[in-house]
Amino acid sequence: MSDVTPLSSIRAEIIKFRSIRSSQWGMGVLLLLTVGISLLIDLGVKSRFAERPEIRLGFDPTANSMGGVFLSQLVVGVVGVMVITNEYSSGSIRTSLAAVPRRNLLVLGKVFIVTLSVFVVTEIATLVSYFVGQSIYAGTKIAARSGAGVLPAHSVIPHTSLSSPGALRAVIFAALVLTLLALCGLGLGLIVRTTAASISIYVALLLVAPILVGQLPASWSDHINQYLPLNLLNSAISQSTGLNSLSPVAAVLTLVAYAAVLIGVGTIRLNRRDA
Amino acid sequence: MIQLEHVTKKFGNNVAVNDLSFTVAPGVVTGFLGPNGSGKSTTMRMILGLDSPTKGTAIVNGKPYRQIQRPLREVGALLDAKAVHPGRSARNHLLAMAASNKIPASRVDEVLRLTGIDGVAKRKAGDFSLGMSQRLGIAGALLGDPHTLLFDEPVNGLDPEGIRWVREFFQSLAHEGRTVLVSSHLMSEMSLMATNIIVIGKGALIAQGSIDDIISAEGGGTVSVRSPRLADLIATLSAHGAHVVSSDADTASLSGITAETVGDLALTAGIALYELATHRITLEDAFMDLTRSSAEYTTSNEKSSS
Ligand SMILES: Nc1ncnc2c1ncn2[C@@H]1O[C@H](COP(=O)(O)OP(=O)(O)O)[C@@H](O)[C@H]1O
Ligand SMILES: [Mg+2]
Repeated sequence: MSDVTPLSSIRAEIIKFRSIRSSQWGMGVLLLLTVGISLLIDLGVKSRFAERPEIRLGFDPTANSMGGVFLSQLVVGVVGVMVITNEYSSGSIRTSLAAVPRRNLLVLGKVFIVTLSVFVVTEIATLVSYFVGQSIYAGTKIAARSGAGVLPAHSVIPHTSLSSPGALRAVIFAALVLTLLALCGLGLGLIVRTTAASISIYVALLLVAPILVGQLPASWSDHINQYLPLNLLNSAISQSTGLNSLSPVAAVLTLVAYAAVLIGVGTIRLNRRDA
Repeated sequence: MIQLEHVTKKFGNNVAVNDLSFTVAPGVVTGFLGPNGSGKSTTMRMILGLDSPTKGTAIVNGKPYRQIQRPLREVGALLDAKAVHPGRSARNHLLAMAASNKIPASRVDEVLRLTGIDGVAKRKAGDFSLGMSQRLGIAGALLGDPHTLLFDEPVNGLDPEGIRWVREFFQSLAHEGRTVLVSSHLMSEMSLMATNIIVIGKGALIAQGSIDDIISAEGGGTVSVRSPRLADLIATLSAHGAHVVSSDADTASLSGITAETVGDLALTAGIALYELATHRITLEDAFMDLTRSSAEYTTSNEKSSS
């Protein structure tokens, strides 16, 4: 009976997202930045692996090949924020809410388009980064130098395949974490409404929070650190869980909780406040 | 049908809409008049469920807007012509709106033609002139072919030809039996377009009814006479309720009396008339009088409370 359904709201949001240049740019930048930075990191590893023991120590070929995702955390936040703040800055939020008066459905449509677009693009980006990285590692011969025992008994840089334990999980979790961060951005945008303020808060939560937590007594900061957004991506894609860090699954679940809280609060505010 | 019942909207301490009640009936264009800042846009946002009233209720077709099942098919609105993402093409803007309400894409092309912007449909809305944006906004309001239509200041930025088109188009929508509410701060425009008007000042209702009723309630205009025996004539007419608005040697302007009565009384009294004419006051005059008195009322109110 009703014209406005979850599906119709999703279809409208897909059209909105596809029809503006900034989201096309956002997706392009996300793909190129992730793959490009990952490649630069791979090339650094390739040229220095033999002589730099600190690179060899605990070298995680899977996580390392996707190194670009760390910078992409900033891009996905901006993408998520702008999906909603765009509507406030242009004023089109009023047209949107007149067309979709049940505001939860508007949020649903936006959650869907952010999840779909960011997950697909970041999954492609992490897969490409992964394969490029592994083939670079596999193709880099290391001369067995003096000081036996220091260098592991590999003739090439250690590498993995998707069937190696934990590798496929890491590739999927990297994209999942970026998608959840984009949803956190969407939630912040719903709460704050302006692009500049939302992005500032996002960046502060990501980059400034670790500095502040670092000022706390070690017994506290060690505990809190593992829940900081900046550390969750690393926890989610690492093959070994370090001391005072979450397991990959726990890291992803923590981010699910963050995204759910932000979008939940944002939706409540959207429902209660004037448009 | 749009009904407001004792609607008040406060933004902090600022009372934007003050205990406003009115009904907008189908079949005629209803003008929604008030000076800038009098609360017209706020009222329209409340009708559309965008802003919540502080007190009172706004009802469209028997329901609060946010409970309507088929929003764009029941109510169409143009609130702010420039409130479109500047980077999105006009057609994509309408396609997204249409998709959200399961309106077919063919209807998008129809309303683009209807509003005369089909030729620029692929251009970014940000490159549109205000006039083109108004047409895009009207196209959006028409998407669902709704029975109730709201337009907030739709003629701003239109050229004279566009204004004429809007006027005739809105009237034809009303003749089809639709409810059409059009806001404006331009009285002259409303007098050409609307049959009924609702006048507000400082968020409160000043007058509502048909334009004819409101004008006659404001005194219905003046009668001018020219006569060689003006003083005698005025004495006679004053005895029958006429007031002299202005007069010079042989001409007077009178209110509170009709031209017919003046003619009859002059004949009975045997006074020659050289000229006799009715000057209807314009809606503009009526509006000025109405809103001026509301301003005075508010000012004296503030004085007494301080
Ligand atoms: N979102 C808002 N926040 C605060 N004040 C507002 C808001 N919208 C309107 N107002 C105030 O409410 C009053 C009525 O404004 P508005 O409805 O835009 O009048 P109009 O459309 O008749 O020009 C004005 O004093 C305006 O400043
Ligand atoms: Mg206005």
